[in-house]
Amino acid sequence: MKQTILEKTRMNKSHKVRNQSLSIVCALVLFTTSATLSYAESDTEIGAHLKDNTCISCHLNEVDDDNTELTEHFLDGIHARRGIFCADCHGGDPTAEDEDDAMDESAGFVGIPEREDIPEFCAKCHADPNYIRGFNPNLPTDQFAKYKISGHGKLLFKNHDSKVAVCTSCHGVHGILPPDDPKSPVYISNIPETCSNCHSDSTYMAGRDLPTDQFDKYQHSVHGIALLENGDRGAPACTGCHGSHDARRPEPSGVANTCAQCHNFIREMFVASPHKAAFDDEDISECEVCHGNHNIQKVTDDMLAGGDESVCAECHDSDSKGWAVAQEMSAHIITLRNKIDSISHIVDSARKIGMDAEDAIYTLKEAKNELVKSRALVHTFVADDVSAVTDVGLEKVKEAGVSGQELLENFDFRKRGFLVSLSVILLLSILLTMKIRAMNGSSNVSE
Amino acid sequence: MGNPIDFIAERLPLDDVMDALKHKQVPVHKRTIFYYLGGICLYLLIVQVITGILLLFYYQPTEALAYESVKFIMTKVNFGWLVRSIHAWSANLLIFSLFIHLFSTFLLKAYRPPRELTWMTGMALFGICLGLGFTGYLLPWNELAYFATKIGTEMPASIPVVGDLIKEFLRGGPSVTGVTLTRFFAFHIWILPLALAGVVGIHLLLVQKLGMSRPLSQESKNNRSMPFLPHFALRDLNVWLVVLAVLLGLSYYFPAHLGNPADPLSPTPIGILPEWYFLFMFQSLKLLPAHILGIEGELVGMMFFGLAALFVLLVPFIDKKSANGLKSPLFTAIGWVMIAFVIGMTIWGRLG
Amino acid sequence: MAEMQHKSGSTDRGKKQSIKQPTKRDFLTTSLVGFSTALAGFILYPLARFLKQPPSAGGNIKRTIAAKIDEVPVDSGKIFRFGNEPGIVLRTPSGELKAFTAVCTHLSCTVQYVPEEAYILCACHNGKYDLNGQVISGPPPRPLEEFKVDVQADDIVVTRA
Ligand code: HEM
Ligand code: FES
Repeated sequence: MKQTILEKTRMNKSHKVRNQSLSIVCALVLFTTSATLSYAESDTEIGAHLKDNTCISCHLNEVDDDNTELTEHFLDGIHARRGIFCADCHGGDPTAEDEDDAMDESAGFVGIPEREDIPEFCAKCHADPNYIRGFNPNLPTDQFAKYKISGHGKLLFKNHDSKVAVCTSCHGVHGILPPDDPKSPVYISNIPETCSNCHSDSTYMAGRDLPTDQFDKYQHSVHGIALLENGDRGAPACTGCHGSHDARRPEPSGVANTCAQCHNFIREMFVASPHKAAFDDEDISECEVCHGNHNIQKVTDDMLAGGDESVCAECHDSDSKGWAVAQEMSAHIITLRNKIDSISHIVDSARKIGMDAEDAIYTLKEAKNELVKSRALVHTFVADDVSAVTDVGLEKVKEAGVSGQELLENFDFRKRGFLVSLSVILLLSILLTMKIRAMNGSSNVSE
Repeated sequence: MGNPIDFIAERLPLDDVMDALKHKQVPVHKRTIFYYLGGICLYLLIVQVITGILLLFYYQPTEALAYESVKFIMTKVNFGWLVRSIHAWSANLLIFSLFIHLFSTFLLKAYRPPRELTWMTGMALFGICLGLGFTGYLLPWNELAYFATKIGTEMPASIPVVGDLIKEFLRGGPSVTGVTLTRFFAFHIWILPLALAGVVGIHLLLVQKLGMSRPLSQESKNNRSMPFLPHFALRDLNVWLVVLAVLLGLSYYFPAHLGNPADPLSPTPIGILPEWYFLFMFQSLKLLPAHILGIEGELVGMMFFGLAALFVLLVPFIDKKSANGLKSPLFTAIGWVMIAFVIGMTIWGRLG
Repeated sequence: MAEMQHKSGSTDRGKKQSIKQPTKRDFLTTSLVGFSTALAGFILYPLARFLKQPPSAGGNIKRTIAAKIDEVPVDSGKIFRFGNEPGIVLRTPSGELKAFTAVCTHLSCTVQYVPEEAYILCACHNGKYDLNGQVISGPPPRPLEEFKVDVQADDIVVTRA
C-alpha cells in the first residue's frame, strides 16, 4: 500500500500529537486509578513499554471503541505488571506505526480467540513450566490438564458446548488479577459468587441436569456464613470440595475424604465405627447422608434422637440396638447441655446485676468444652465414649453450680440487706414524723 | 479538765454558731417546701464526699487500670457495687436538686439584697458541680465516657483565638488520652472539691448570717415562721432519710453499669449522648445552623449560653424592681422561660 | 466510784418505774434512738466490709501473670486464665516463650501444647496450630491470637495487644 504525501504529513502530525497526548494519557492512566498509581511508583518498566507499544497507545487514545476501556483495564492486571503485553497473547507487531502493519496476520496477529479456544490460548504459556518458571516458580502449570478432566472441560472438548466456563469466565479477561488479590473474582471469598454467576442462573443452566440453588443454600450454611459473613478465609468455598480447574461432582466415596480435609478427627472416628462398612455396602456417602452438602447447618442435638429431626431414625427402627445407642448418646449430651443452660442462666442473671461471676463463667466454659467434645464423639457411635466426656463436663457444671449458688446467696443477702435497711429508714422516718407532729402540739409556729 | 464540750466551746466560737442557729427562723408559707432543697443538696454533697473517698481506696487513675479497677470495685470489693452506685446516683440527684434549688430561689427572688452574694456563690456551686459531673464521668474509662468526653472537650474549640488552647488544656494534648484521664482525675478529686468546700462554706455562712428570706409574694399573706432548731432541722433530717431510701432503691434496682472499656481507635458509636444535665446545651448547639450571620453556629450558641449564665449570675443587680421590694413579673417570666427551655431541650435531645 | 454510778443508775431507773408511767413521748424517743442506732449499724457495716481487704487482687484483662518461669520448661505448655478466657503459654523446643489465646477458633474448645511434636492441638476436633498460632490442619478457620510475653523476675507476664 502506497501512502500519499498528504497521508504522510497527517501521520507525522498525528504522531506528534500522539506523543503529546500520550503523556497526557499516561498521566491520566497513572493518576486516576489507585491501581495504576501503585505500578507507576513501582514499575517504571511499564512506563517505558507504554511509550513504545503502539497497541496500547492507539487503543487507549485514537480508536474510540470497546478496546479503549479494555486496554485501561488491562494495564491494571498482573500480566501488564509482569511486562506481558497485548502482542504476547494476540500476536501482531506492537512496534509498527501503521494499524494494518501492526495487526497483520503475517506478524502473527490472531485477534480475538473463539471462546472454545480460550483454554488452549491461555495454556500456550500457562502449561509451559519452562516459561512460567521465569515469572513464578511456584505457579502450577497443570491447570489446563486439570481443566480437560473437569466437568467444564469435558463438555467443552467432547460436546463442543461453549456455554461452559472457560478460563476467562472465572478469572476475567485483560485486567486479570492474581487469586490472592481481594478484588480478583477467584479470591477465596469471591469464589461462591463467581461460580453462582452461571450456576445460579436458571435460564443459563436450562437443559442441564443440575440444580441452581447451590449458592442460596451455601450462603446460609455454616461454611458460607464462616467465609462470607465472618471472613474466615480458612472456610471452604465451592472449590474447597469441588476443586477449581478440575471442578466436577464428587463421587459418593470421595465426599467423606473431601470433608476429612478439615474434619479429619470425625472421619477417623467414623471409619473406625461399624457404620463405615455398612455405608460402603450401600454405596452411600458418609458425612453427606446426615449433614447434607451445600446447605450444611449447625448441628443440633435433636439430630440424634429428637423425633422428626433424628437422622438416626432414618435407618434405625425404634426397637433396634442402633436406636437405643442413639437415645443413650442423646440423653448424655442433652443432660449436660441442660445443666449448663440452667447454671448459665443463674450465673448470667447474677453477672447482670454486677455480681462477681468470673469464676463461674470460666468453669462453665470448661464444661462447654466437654459438651463440644462429646458432640464430636457421637461419630464413634459408642455411648460410653460419649458419657466418659459428658461426665467430666457434669463435674465442671457442678463446680460452676456451687459458685453460682454462692452468687445467688450473695444476691439474696443483698436483697435482704436492701429490704431491711429500707424498712429501718422508713420506720425511722415515720417515727420522726410522729415526733415532729408531737412537737407541733407544743406550738412551734410563731406569729 | 472538765467537760470536753465546754473545753472546746471556750476556745472555738461554737456559741456564736449555736446562737445564730437557735435564733434562726424559717418562714412558714405556701413555698416553704423549697427551703428543703438547699439542705438536700448539702446532704447529697456529703454522701458524694464519703462515697467518693471510699472509691478512692480502690480506684486507679491510669489508662491501663482505670476500667479494670472500677470493674474490680463492682465485682470483687465487698459492697463496692453499692458504693459506686450510690456515688453515681447521688451525683445525678445532686445536680437535679441543684436545678430545682436554683430555679426555685430564682422564682422566689431570694437573690434580692442582701442575698446577692448567696446567689452568686450558689451559681459558682452550680458550675463546680457541673464540672464535677463532667470530669467524674470519664473516670471509669469506658466507651461511653470516652466518647462523651471527646465530644464535650471538642466544644470549646470553636471559641476564637483561645478555643484550641482551652481544648488542649482540658485534654492535655490534641486528643483524649490517658493524660486526659489523669488530669480529669486531678480536677475531680482535688481542684473542684476544694473549690466546692470553700464556696459551700461561704454559701452556708451567708445563709446562716442572713437567715431565710421570705418571698415577696408571701410577705403580705402571713408572718408565720418556725425555729430552725429543732423544728426545721428535724424536718430536714426526715427529708434526708427519704432521700437515703431513694438512693438505696435506685442503687439496688439500677446499679451503675460499666459497659465496655474505652477503645480510642474504634469509631464513635452512633447515638452517643452526654449526661442528661448537659443535654439541653448539647441539643441547642446541635439545632443551630452551621453559620449565623457569618459566625460559626456553635460559637453563637456558646456565646448565648455564656451570656445567659452571666445574666443569671448578675440577676440580683439587674432585677431592680424586686430589689426595691416591688413585684417583678418580667423576671418571673424569664425564670419560667428558662425552665421551659431547659426541660424542652432536654426532652428533645433524648427523643430526637 | 463504780458502785456509786451503779447505785445512781439503779435508783434512776427505780424512780422512773415507780413514779412515772412510760409516756408515749418516751417511747417515741427511745425508739427513735434505737432505730437511729440500727441505721448507723446498717451504714457502718457495709462501710467496714468495703474497707476490708477484698477476696482477691484485681483481675486484669489486658495483662496478667501467666506462670512462674520454672513452670514452663522447654517443650511444654501451660494453660492460664486471662480474664474470663483461657490462654496458653508455651516454651518451644528452641527455648522461646510464646503465648496465645487458648480458645480454638473453631468451636471455642481449649487448646493444649503437644510436647515433642511441637504443635498446639485442639482435642475437640483435632485442630492443629503451629507454634506461631497458624492453622496446620483440621477445622479451625483462623489462627490463634498471639499475646506478648515478658519475663519479669521469675514471672511470665502476658499482655494482650
Ligand atoms: C453544692 C451546692 C449547694 C449547696 C450545698 C447549697 C446549700 C444551701 C442551703 C443549705 C441553703 C439554706 C436552705 C435553702 O434555702 O434551701 C441554701 C440557700 C440558698 N441557696 Fe444554696 N446550695 C447550693 C447551691 C446553690 C445554687 C446552685 C444556687 C443558685 C444559683 C443557690 C442559691 C441559694 C440561695 C439564693 C439561697 C438562699 C435562699 C433563701 O434565703 O431563701 N445555692 N443553699
Ligand atoms: S473446637 Fe477446636 S477443632 Fe473444633
